[in-house]
Amino acid sequence: MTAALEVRELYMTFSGVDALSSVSLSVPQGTWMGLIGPNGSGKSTMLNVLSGLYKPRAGAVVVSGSDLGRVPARSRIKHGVCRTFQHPQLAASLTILENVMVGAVRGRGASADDETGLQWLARLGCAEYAEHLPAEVPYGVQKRAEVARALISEPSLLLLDEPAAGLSARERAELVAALREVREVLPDLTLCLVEHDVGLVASVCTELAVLSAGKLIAHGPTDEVLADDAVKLAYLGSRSTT
Amino acid sequence: MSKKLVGLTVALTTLSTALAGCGGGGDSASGAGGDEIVIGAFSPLSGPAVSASSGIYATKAALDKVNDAGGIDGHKIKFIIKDDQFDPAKTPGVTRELVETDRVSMLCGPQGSVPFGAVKDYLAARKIPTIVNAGAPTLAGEYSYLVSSPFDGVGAMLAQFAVEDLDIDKVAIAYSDDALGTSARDGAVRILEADGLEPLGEIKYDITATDFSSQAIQLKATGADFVSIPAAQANVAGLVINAAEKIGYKPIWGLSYAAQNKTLVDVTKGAIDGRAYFATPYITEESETGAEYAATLAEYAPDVEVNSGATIAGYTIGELCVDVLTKAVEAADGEVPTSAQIQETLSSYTADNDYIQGIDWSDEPDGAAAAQILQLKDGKYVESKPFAPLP
Amino acid sequence: MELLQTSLILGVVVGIVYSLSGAGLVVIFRTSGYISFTQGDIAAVGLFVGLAAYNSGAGYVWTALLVIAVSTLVGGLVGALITVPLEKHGHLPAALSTIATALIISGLLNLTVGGDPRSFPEVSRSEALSILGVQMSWSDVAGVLVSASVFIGLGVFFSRSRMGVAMRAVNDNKLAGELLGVPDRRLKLVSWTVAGALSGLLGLFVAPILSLSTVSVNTLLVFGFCAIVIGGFDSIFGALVAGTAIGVMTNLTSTYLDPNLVPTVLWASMLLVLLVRPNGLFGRRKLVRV
Repeated sequence: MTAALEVRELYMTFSGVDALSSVSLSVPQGTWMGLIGPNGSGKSTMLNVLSGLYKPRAGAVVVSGSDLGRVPARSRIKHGVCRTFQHPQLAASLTILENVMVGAVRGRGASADDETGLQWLARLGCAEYAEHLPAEVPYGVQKRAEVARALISEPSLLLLDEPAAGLSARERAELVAALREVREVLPDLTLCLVEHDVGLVASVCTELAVLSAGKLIAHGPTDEVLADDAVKLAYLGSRSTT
Repeated sequence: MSKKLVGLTVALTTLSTALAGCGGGGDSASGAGGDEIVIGAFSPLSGPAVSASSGIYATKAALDKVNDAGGIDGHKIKFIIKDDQFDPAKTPGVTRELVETDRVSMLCGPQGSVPFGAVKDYLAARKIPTIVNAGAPTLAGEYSYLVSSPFDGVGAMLAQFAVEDLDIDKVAIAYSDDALGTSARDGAVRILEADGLEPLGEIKYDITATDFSSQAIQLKATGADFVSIPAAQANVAGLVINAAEKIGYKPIWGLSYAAQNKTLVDVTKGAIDGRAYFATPYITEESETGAEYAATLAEYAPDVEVNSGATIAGYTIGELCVDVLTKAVEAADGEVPTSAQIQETLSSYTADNDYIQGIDWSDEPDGAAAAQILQLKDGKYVESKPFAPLP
Repeated sequence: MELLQTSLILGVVVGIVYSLSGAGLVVIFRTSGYISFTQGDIAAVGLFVGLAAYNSGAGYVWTALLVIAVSTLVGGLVGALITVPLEKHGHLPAALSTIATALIISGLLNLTVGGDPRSFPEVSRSEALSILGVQMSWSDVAGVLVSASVFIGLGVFFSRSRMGVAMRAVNDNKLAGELLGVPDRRLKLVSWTVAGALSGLLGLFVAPILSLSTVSVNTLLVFGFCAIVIGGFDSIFGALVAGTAIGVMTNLTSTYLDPNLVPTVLWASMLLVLLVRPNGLFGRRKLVRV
């Protein structure tokens, strides 16, 4: 079976420093993979490469069998790749619902109508804000609206960039509930979740990949990875040794 | 915003002017015999006001005719025209070129009240005399001589014509709040009051406005049978007239040579034919002298509009310049006259000829004290009341 | 009383034309985020071509269609070849390029057709109806009806159609637009083309009133600009209401105060709105959460 996402020998260099170095991994369809690692380990770089904002120095990104090496960022949505941002990127003069519907302009859910948009907002627990402008709604709602916008494009691979960053405990709980709802509705969706909050990642992801200084140091089922000594050392090292 | 646009227009249209090759001066006449008399003028040869340039081409036609007949006592006239685009910000630059580089001894027929206003003092300081092709009374000065009748007199003459010749006592005035507009209004009021009347309305308009429906409504509300709007140029007069006629108000319109041209007829689509009168100190194509004028124009400036007030004014000024220069050459014993000699001639000059009547610059350097009234009839300007002194 | 009634009614009629001139500006502003100063000159090109056709015997309908077709084409070309490509250097160069383009077009027009104002054909001067004693010609009626349908059409397009919503998103958030695959370049070209068509349409109503010269449509765009500032840059409906209000306000000012006060009243009310409601009367107010 073709993997939903396959990364082969990825290298990314910023002014001589390797941000990613020889990263290879394969994610089967329907898998929710958490991408974790300390600050500067290359998580965000990885997401930017996958979504096409960065062009890697070497290596391949293959989604559902197609090599996206020559596919620019703006066309990746047609290959089923969609992402969110750590800081929500919503159009300020559009309502939340209108923002969501922008995801349907080029996405594969071209037949989606306002009804579908509202449905997604409802599933993510923010239907009541549909007619508000982004600046008028809580931060957590903005972040979930971005998820809804990505989902309406009917992606096969969804990339979430720190969806919990900046959220209160309550908003985090709402986010987890929303993500579980998504999982329920879209069992075939493959998800790549970059997040600092390891607890949150562990509670929604079945697999974890760990980056450290641009290298993939572990990749496997969540429990196994969290138990891995190398991971503990690299990722939690500073905390466990003191 | 529009001002900014206008400002930038200046910069960019300079380029188009250069491309058009129409910014250059008059050709130097390679005359045998005496030295050239170098004179100049500025005019909107390009830009939005380019249509006014018919006046300078007519001035040039009058001078060219003299050159072809051998010049003035053997001296050819070199007439240098500079393009100022009717922009008072550009006028000083081109005027300096004329005075300091081209060394003109006088300006003959530079156009426009506002552009000339920008250089009047400079020219006086350099003692360069000018016969101005513009109507604002404030332009007259020690070195600047006006030809067009003062608008006070034009307004007065139209009011007198309405009351005495057309037998109308319901007269309204539309005016712009500037020197031309208010003096025309005051002239009309003066005459009406002398006849024991008063205007049914004095409606102000802004020449830069886009919408004149408010003026139309107010004019209509006066119920006047004659509306005097002499200071308006053709485009503004056309907008006011159109706005009024659009709401069903069709009075007799009193205008002047400022609006006497094809543009007015075109813009109003001929609706005012037979109902529009023009006070003018200038002749018409239909008159006897006019035939000669039209023939000269057909030969030397075949593209300009013969029947336009601005063209006839320009031509008349050309004729005046020739007359003045002829007298100045005589005073200089047949030599090329200096600016001072031309100024001397001008300051004692009077004219009462086939082209213009009632010029007496020995008294005041202001315009013609006599005018006639023309009627727009079947697209032509025909005499309705012969030349008479302005009241 | 009749003076007041007539002032009000004619104010509305001219105000709707002001609104229409604002509409073309809003369409470009929504996708690109700046004002195009070249719309009047785009219209002028269309109008002069149309007038040439009319003078050589084309009927009014063909003339009108030709004006709109040429304006649409010129608008699209200016956007495609000049302004949109310059956007990569930022909004300011792009906006400045619209001024430069405007001046180049008007320079070329002055050179080719000259500055003389001419009359331009209109729908019909004959009386269509009379409102409170004010006669309205078929041209007035057509102007009001066409403007109204343009406003309804644009309003529906921007709020209901997916392309309309996407056009608004393009300028608002570039990054998101790119990642979501919103074809921003294409949408911008669409907006320039549509704005070109609107300018031509506007010209058809302006030229008969102001007479056609190289500057006639431009002089009106000032009012359109004020209309969208007062109404709200992103609000088509706002442009309609504000344009009409400006028409009435300037007419009353001219009638009862002083015609020379019109620009002062116009710009002062624009500044006042900017100070009190920076997003315009009908622009959506952005609440800042603390």
